Amino acid sequence: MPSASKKSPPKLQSANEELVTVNQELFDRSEQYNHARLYAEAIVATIHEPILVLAKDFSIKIANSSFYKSFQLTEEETLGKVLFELQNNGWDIPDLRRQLLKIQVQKEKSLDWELTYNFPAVGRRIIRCNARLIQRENDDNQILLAMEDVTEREQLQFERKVLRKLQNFLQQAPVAMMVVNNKDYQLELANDKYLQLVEKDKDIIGKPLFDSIPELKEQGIKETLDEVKNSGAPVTKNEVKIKIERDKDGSSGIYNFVYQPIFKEDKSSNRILVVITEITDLMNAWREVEESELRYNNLIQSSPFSICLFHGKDMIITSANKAIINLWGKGPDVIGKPCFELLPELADQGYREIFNEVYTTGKSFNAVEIPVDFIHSGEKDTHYYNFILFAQRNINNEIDGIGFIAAEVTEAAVLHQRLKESEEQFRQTADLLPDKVFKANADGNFFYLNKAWEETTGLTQDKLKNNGWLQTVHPNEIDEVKKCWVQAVESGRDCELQFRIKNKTGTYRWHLCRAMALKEDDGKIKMWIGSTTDIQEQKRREEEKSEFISIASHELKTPITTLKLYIEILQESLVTKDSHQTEKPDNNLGLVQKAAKSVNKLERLIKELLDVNIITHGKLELNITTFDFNEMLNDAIEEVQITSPDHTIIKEGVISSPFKGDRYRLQQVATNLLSNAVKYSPDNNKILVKVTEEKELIKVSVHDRGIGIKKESLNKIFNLYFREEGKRPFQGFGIGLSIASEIVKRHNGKIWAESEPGKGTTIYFTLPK
Amino acid sequence: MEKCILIYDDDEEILTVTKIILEKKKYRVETRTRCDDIINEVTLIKPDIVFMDLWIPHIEGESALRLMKQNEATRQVPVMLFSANDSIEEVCKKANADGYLKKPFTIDTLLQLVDKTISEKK
Repeated sequence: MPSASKKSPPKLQSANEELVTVNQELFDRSEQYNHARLYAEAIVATIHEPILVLAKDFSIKIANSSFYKSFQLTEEETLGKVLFELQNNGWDIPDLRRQLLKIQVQKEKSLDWELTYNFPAVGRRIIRCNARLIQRENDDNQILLAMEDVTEREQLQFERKVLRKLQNFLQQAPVAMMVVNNKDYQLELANDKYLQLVEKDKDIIGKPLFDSIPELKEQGIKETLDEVKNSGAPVTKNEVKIKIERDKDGSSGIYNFVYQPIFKEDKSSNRILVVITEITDLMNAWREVEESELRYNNLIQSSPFSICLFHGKDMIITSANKAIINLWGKGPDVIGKPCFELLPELADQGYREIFNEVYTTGKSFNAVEIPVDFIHSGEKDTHYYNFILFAQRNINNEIDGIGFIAAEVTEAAVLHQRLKESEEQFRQTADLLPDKVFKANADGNFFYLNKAWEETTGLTQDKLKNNGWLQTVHPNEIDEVKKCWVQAVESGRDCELQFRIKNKTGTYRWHLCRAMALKEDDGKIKMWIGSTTDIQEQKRREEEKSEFISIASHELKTPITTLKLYIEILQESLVTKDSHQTEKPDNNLGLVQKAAKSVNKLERLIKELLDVNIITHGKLELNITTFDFNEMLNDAIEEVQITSPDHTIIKEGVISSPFKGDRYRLQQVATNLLSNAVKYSPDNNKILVKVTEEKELIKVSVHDRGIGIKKESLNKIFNLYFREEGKRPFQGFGIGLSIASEIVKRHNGKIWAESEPGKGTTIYFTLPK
Repeated sequence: MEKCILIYDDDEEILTVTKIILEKKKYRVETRTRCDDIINEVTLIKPDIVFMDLWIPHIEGESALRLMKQNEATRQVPVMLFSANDSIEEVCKKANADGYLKKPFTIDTLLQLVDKTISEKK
């Protein structure tokens, strides 16, 4: 201080004192300053964020421990060094330089910015920087630079943003999706589709996947996640069968999985996106399609019918079963070959045109018993087939081929051929016959009538067919003919009846018609065959005969009456009475009695003759009256009893109410049965007649203990002229039972016999009340 | 007065034998093998019973019977039809005859019928 030296000692004293004071002041201030600096440094050191104090030349004056730690630098490497030169100029960050210069040169007080930089030791970091100017008096301004590392926070925020976006995307996705982290496979995201799929609540989000759905762990999901985690590459797994313990059922489904690692900005991955598509229904449908196809193929292959499919205009064989390959006489290598190249013989027979017709029009072609020639080992082989050709259409309904199904009917065709020939022969033969021959179907409709029908009636076959022939039948017989024919058709029983047919001159002539049903093995009627014979002459002769018998019988009855009466007179005259009124028979009386017996027999025979005539000509006419059945039965018993005094006829039972019927004819029935019983029980004299009344009918039985009837004859005894062959022949025409049967039937009753040879016979008959 | 029976039949033997039987029983018997004018004959003879075969020459028994029953003078006379025909009973009813006798018959049946008819007439 040159100015101070020029002063006086008091002045010096005072200056010195002044200096001491100043010095003290300076010291104090320095002291204060140091305190303040230490204080500031201590604060800086304790601040969590990295903080630097830079000198004007950007050399680092102060750095806190956080800085060293964050950027992996030591104090030596840092203090006094220019910031941009740190770590071998690794800190020469343009953005950092620019911002700091703004502070330094433009005197910006404070600046905030975010710096993203790949730092030498710590790598990519996001740093939030705050720089402010520390103004100093001597223009020695310093810069306080705070560098907050926000890398993790930004990262987190970014990821949250990504996840949020992902979640939106996931929610809207039409398939089940979920995201797990790489660490413990915690389920971070899952869309509703996924939750529905596994049937879980939202609660499972945020929890490790295999804790919530443990069953997945064992089903290869974990292995796949591990694989994706380790390789970092996406993995696709298709048609995986997974069983999930759902609440509803534990059924398994089939799924397609896509495992996609989610990459971060640094290309590393810490999450896996899993996309799941349920394809159970699809797979099932597909399996069904496959099975259906298999079945279809099996059906075709195992079919006894010959089946094949041709594709396209060239008729390429795409499918052919064994049957058709055998039919063609070729090997299995026919597939892929054009049809007519393989079988030129078919083209020669005109089938190419038929195939083309079906292919172009789509109209099926049906063939019945068509002969087809195949060339087998050079030789022509003719077989008959029923077949169908039909258009095959693709999904667009366009014809793209032809299907062919054939059944060999050679045997049937040959049979039909023979049948046709035989039919022709039959017709020719039938046409030669003088009889009218017809054939009718099972329903009774005539479908064939021979020439004789046409010649007799003057009507054409067409007019006579079906029911046309009925117009030729006489009106008196038409109802009966219709009734009988309907009955025959319904029952299938043979039918025989007589009726008059009008010939072409308009005259009716009697015909006898017989029809017989030709039946299948199972008894079903195949058809009817019948012949109709002109019996006009025969009929006339029969009528004459019947008339003659009738007249003759009546004529015979008159002399018999006379004869009987004379014999009676004679009998009376041969018995004289003495004075005691005792009858004295003449010696010749016995002879006259024999004559009477013969006359009675003659009378009975004439009666039978008349009855035969009546029955054989269906002329039995009933004279219906109301009468006492018991009385009638008693009369019959009496009648037989008189002529058979050696037998005892016992009657049991009575009928309470009067009966309606032909008394004379019913008595004839009873008399016949009783006479028979007497006749066939010569060694046992008891005949039992039982009469019982049931709800709607009267039942009569006549029981004898005679010679009996053999089992095989039981059905025949009611036939006309039947006679049991015994050791002793019995007299009469053998028509008694036949007449009885006819009379009972005409009363709508039933008659039958039970018998045991040697033990006796019971004949029953019932009559409706 | 003795009762008179008039019999029509084309068979002479029948007429003879019935005549013998009835005369034995003290009946007056008139027989005819043909019937030309039934009303006239019946009116003349005044029989107590007429026996008539169903078939007699010139007129059927049935027609003769009908004529008799239509005529006031002859209506009251009982007419018996006789025949070998089985349907005699029916014919008898239809023709309104008073009774019938079926051939062949016995003396007893003939006499019973005659006695019964005559006693009813009384």
